[in-house]
Amino acid sequence: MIILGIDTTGELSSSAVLTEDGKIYERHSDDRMNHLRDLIPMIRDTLGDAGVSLGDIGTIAVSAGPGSFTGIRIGMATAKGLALAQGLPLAGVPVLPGFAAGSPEGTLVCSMLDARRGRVYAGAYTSAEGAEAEGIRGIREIIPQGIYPAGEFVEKCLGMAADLSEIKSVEFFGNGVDRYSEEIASRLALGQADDDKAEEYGDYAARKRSYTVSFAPPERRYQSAAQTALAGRDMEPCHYSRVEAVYLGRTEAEKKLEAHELGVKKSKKAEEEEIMELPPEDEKITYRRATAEDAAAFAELDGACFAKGWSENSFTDELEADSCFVAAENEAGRVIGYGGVTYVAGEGEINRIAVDRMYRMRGIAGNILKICMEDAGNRGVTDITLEVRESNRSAIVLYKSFGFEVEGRRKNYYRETKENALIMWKRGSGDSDSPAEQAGSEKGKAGEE
Amino acid sequence: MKDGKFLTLGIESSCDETAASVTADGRQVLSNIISSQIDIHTLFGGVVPEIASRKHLENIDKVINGALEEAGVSLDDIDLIGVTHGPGLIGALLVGVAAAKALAFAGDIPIVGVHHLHGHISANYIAAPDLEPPFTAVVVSGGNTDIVDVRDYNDLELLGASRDDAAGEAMDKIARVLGLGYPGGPKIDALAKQGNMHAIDFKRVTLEKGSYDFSFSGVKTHVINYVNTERQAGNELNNADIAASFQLSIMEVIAEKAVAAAKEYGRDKLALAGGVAANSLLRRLMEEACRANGIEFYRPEPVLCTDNAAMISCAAYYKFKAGHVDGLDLDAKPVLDFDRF
Amino acid sequence: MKLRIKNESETRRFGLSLAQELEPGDVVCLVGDLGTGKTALTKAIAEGLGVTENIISPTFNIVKEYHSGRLPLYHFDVYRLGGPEELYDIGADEYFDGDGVCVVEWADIVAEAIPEGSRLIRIQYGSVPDERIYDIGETE
Repeated sequence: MIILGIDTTGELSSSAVLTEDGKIYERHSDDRMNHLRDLIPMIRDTLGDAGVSLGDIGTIAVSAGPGSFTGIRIGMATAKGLALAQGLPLAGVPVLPGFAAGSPEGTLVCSMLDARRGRVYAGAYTSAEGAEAEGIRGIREIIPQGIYPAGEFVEKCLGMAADLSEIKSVEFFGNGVDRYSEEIASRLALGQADDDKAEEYGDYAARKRSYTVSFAPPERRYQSAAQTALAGRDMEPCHYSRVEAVYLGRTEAEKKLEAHELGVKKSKKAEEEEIMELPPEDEKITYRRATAEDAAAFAELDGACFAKGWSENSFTDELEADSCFVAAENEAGRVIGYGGVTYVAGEGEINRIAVDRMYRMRGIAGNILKICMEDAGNRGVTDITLEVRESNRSAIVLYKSFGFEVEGRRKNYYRETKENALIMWKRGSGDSDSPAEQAGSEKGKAGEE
Repeated sequence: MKDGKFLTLGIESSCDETAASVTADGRQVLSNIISSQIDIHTLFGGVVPEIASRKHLENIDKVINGALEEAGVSLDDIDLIGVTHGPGLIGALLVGVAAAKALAFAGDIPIVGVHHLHGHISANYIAAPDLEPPFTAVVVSGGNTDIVDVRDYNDLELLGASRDDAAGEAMDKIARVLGLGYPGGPKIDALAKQGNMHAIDFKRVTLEKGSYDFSFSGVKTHVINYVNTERQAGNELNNADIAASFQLSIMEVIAEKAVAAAKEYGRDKLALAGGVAANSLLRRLMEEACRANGIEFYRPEPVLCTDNAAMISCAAYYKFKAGHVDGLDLDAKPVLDFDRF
Repeated sequence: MKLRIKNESETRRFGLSLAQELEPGDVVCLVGDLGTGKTALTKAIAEGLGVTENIISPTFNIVKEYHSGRLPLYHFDVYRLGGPEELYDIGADEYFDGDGVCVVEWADIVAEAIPEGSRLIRIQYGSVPDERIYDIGETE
């Protein structure tokens, strides 16, 4: 029986032909955006590689999920179409137990696929003659497939491995391995021999384990049509009209609210909120030098603008240090923007500039920055640096317009959002004027010559 | 081929419906299976599969088999496969396109992708065997209000479209505001018959001179504001009058622009299509306007106006005859311009 | 935060400003009755993102994609859906973790599918015609 395997549930899609004597021909597509466009041509080419035609195929095995919703559909609709045309039976292969097909005895196969927001579609299985799991013969279910928080699933796997004496090795499969490598490592203390670390990481300290733990090497780690075909060979195929996709959708317990109500995070302020108005477009903004007394107002503004705002004490420290801070006030005298430069060892560091969201897009940040740069210029400070989130497009554009250039990057600097920080510098005796003034002074110079 | 006729299998799954159809020589409908209208008992003899809106993956093989069975043909007899490849919902489109490509590959059958709008226009060829280009086409549905100049089967130009709410959408929304339920269009149509269409003057937005575009969100807002104001003032609403007046403000603009387009482009035929083509007032206004201007008026029966695969099959047939054919790398396009082709 | 929006011009200013803050993967939920201006606000957001195409109502199409701005914009109107399961049926759930910005009108209908921490704007009629009150928060 020659089997055609199809998998479109992961980032890459693939097609495979499994011959009767166990030979595999497989092709995959690297273009994750074009699964639909490329699948049929890829199947045609795989058949060609194997030297068979569609008429030689006895069964079609297609990955039924879980995974990408659109991916699952592309594979299954294609498989159904081929099965319909050829009058072939179809095996809808569940991806998670599928990883265990053909695995060596004594291995606990832990399949984890990223389900976003810290969770995984996951399940764990072992090879076991005579057993069956999710329709695949020769596999025993150890942890049923479902949606789990990533760390919790890993703990379950290690717990099972410790409890079951027949388990000699634990192998992790799926893109959950890459996405949640930290969660796994922390529970494994992989490579850690010291007692301190072992305690910190809990019961699963390396030296106590009765089994080895590994991540499946990249060439075997992810879904593939070859694996789907192998698993499909161990299944009872059925009529294509009865094959169902495996979505592992949210369970009842996961659903948060009834009657379609969007739950809203309680705001920190009182319930009876004042209704604010959009500030008039022509409102006059005044800029003044800030003092330590502005610390509280700055802290409040910072907290409103950023996930982790600076505390009032931090601001007091900065304001009392050798620095120049600017407060931008609206007509009512409320601080709606701030920014500053701190001087250390003859260099300047621009602290972040924050503007109340109601006052964005008015050039206030630029004006604040201009004043800081002027102060630095007056003090003869010529080298100024700053850090900015890599994704903060508009800030980067602003800083570049003032002559700052990117000189370095700090990975995962902003821990909450796992974002990189860009280190920018403006160096030398160049103008600390704003771009407009630079242009003006250039003109002036030309005139003088 | 069967009995000397060229057979096209059409597949449609761009939005709500999963549909398949077999036509002979383009216009003769041998079967027209639509997921929401299927008589499941007769076709599947007792075991009732779950056939619900947008369950495209579950429905696709059933509608295809249903279409082949009802037409009394097998896939071997099929000469061409036509499938809607856009515009629409990506999750829906890809089921139809994937299945169509699989059939095309397995059966070594040529495949043609069809623009959904082109399909609607082509419904008229099925309904009126004598209709041939050139003519003016008007497609009015939940998601479209378009005027198209049909120079030839495969030479079409979009003259105007909706800039905000399509006519069908506006109807559904006002129906909701009036508490009429869904689908709103037919309910507004029915209620309007009991009302006075001149009772309230809801503004008509015709846009700039010479434009064939439509803008109904203003009328929609106008009606909503009117209803809100009256309710707040404690006045009793005459829903029938509101429905009638609102309907007139929409249909009048459509009929006027459609006829104006026909006259500007020198067409003596005007064909209506799309789900809202069933609206009685629109039909009456268009018939009257066409008669007054010596234009022949065409409109398919309701089942061909709403989404179906027979219209896709027909459009594919004429595309193929003109030499257009797609490869096995055909893709689904949720966003697809209506180009001249 | 509650904001009084006096007219369409302020709707536009608010939308343009909000657009500057949006990053890939952001979801903006718009909840409010018919006629409150959810689509008008979406148009302003689109303009702020640099989308050049005309934004039309996606009520029938459920989701429309726009790729001409600095980020892809996926404009949803789930008015016709019965619940979050139907969103999964059309694969729309994947847009939420994607490469662009999602604006979802009538998001309360598919509440369970909305990612935690999404922006939520409830729009109500104000005390005078043309006026709206925006209640701005985050989903849990």
